[in-house]
Amino acid sequence: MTRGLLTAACVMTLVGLALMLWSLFVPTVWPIMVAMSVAQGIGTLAFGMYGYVVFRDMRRRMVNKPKKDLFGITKELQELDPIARPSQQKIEVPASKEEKAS
Amino acid sequence: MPTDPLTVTALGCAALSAVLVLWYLIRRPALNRATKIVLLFGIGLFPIATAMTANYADFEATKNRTFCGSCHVMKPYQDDSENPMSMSLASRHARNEQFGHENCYACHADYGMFGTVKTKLGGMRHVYLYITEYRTQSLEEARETIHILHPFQNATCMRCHSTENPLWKDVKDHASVIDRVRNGEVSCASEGCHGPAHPFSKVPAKKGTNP
Repeated sequence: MTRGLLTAACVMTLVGLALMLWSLFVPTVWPIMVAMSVAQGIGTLAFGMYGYVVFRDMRRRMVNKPKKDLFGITKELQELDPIARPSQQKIEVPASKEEKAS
Repeated sequence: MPTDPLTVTALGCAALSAVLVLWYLIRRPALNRATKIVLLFGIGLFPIATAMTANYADFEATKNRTFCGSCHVMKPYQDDSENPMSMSLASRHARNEQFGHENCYACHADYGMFGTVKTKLGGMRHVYLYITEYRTQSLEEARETIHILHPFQNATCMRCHSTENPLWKDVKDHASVIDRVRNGEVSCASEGCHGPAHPFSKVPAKKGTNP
């Protein structure tokens, strides 16, 4: 779909440009009216399609980006190497005297 | 070969845009950052630059007499202006080297603060009327039904002919009506003075016709 949209945007850009240039070479009422309305509409739509494709591509990259914790460590790495999971590491605290007595 | 800077700029931007877009269509590269930037120029920036310059060039082109004459009902007016033997007011102004090729616009444009906008809106109205009513009319029918919307303003003439020139004031006919000319009571383009500007078009207008 991405490639199809971009291809359509490119073709529409070429059509819009051709209509604009037509008005430059034949400056009569119809070419100028078409250049200032239809051609600009086609060009704007083509640019909008390009913007949509780029936006969608960026969003896809954001969604598929590996998630990292506060320390910048990815989830996959945490599973492979438990030491790299500081938040889940068991920290041994020396027992106090009261605890030893009890 | 176009020499107008606006037209050349528009053509250049359009050519660059076309090259980039065709490159994408032919090579079909992956949509990476470089491709996106190339397409930003090919689909976005260069076409926008083309549209801006082409629009300006088109606006300038709409001032030309050939543009006015591109609607068939205006062809007799264009032909009269371009006739070197014609002595009509329009034709004599068309022979002026300074603005002769834009003589329709020079005389029919509104010169107020928003004059250009008003003139362009009026032009749009003309196009609308042409499409809806006059496109299929014969020249004879059009000559009878088309007439000027408002009486011609002396202020338009006075942009160039200020009425302050001593040579102008020395003309007795001018001196006798100078105040009435300045306040618009007597039209410069009236019959017996310098008009009508388009003598061949002067037939009584039919009732209920559009100006």
